[in-house]
Amino acid sequence: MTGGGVTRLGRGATRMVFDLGGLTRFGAQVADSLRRRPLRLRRLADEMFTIGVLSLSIVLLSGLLVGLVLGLQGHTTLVRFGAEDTLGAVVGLVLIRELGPVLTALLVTGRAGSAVAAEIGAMVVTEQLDGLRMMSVDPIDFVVKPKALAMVLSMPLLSALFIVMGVFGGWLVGVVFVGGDPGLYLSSLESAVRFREDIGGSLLKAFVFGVLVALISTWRGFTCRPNAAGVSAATTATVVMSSVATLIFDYFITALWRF
Amino acid sequence: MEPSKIESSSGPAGVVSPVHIEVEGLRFNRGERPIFRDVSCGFLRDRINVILGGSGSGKTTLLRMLGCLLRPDSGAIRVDDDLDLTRLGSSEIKAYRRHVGMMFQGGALLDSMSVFDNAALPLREHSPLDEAEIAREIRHVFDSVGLDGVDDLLPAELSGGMKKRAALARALVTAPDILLCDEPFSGLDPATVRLVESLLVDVNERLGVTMVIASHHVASTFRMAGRIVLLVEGEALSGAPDAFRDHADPRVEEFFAGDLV
Repeated sequence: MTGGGVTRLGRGATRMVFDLGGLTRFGAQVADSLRRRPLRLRRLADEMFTIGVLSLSIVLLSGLLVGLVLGLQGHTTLVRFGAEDTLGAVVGLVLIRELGPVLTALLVTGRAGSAVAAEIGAMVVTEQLDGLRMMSVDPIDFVVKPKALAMVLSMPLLSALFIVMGVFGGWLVGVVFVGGDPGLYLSSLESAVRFREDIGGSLLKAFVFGVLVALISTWRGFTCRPNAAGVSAATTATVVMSSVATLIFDYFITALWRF
Repeated sequence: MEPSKIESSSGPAGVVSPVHIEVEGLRFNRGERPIFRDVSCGFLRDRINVILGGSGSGKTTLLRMLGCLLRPDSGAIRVDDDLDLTRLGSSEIKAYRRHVGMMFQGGALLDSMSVFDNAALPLREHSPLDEAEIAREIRHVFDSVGLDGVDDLLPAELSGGMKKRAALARALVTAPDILLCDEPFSGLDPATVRLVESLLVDVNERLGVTMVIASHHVASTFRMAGRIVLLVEGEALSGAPDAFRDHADPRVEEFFAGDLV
């Protein structure tokens, strides 16, 4: 490796350590703001609408399509083993344990996380955050807290809806398209899913992904350079960092939760 | 080099305004580039103080330091002789800012909130007033800056002049002791410059607030300023407007270059 390569590697590592430190400190400030009153419920409701409700269409559509594909692939595979009666269990468990929370997090990152970073970044550029500071209003409390909280609350709900639509998509394929038994589809699903291991783990994942996307998107926007290129970089970094963090944490939660 | 080479007396004959904010030996680098080498100057109480200087001379930087949005590398900024802004903790900064209003260059109004809600924000956050009392206060301030019929508009729906006035209204709504204005005339046509200028003068006379204005608009500065602080080469030259008209310092002559009449 050349000297220049080592230098770049060192700079990259140093920047990563600084970034992790900055993100941790920012996370602590956001957590601290959650303890403070007022809760800003009106702003929270607005953000729940922007982040949660406006993400519904893409999450529901994606859930349905993923369920349809899972149904087709699952049925094709299970028929080989004469186990097509377990299609409901396969589709349901794959969605609940894995695809529901992960794909929802990736979709919300692309639709809402990037928008949050861009919006806060634009507020940096136009000095709106400094304007708040000059009014003795903490921008983390006023701007970041409602957005982050809305993201964290929305993620499990969206993930649950994604799973419901996915199960419905699998049912469409397994029951309507290939003529399977509707009772068997649902009973295999019901008997296979365990509340703590599957539903609990799914909600935990969605919650953790919500925290990750919320922190990364708000932090990237909050610390972006005050120009157009800075906002663009913050938006891109939000999508990349959130996606990678989601997949890394997915592995560790799966390993630790002992599915 | 002495920080002030120009007479610092100011104000109407026989009246000596005490210094409200005193800046002493400020040094500040942005990266490798020195912005302030040794800036010392004073801003007079209840008067209009204008910071002049070329692009990149540090006008906005100095203003942001007065608002505690930026810390100098060294030096002191004293308010009322005893409060050194460069040494304040975060809670003290919050307390100080309750007495300071700031009008940003682009307005810095929250673009997701109506003009009324923008102006009402500091009152809703910090005052015990109920909504009816807040509405009365806002109406009063809007009247004083000539804003009418814009309550429900978003900042993006305002013209440049209206946006400046809305920003001024928000800065004034808490009746600050100090008003910081960053380039209040930028992007305005000459008629609107006159309008905003007369508004600032009127506010200063009626409310007796100490104003510090960062501007590059020489004509309006000489019409309204009680004191001018000229930033050149990382230093400050300060004094009354008249002191700058006949000054022999080549840096002063070069900056004004025919703008003085």
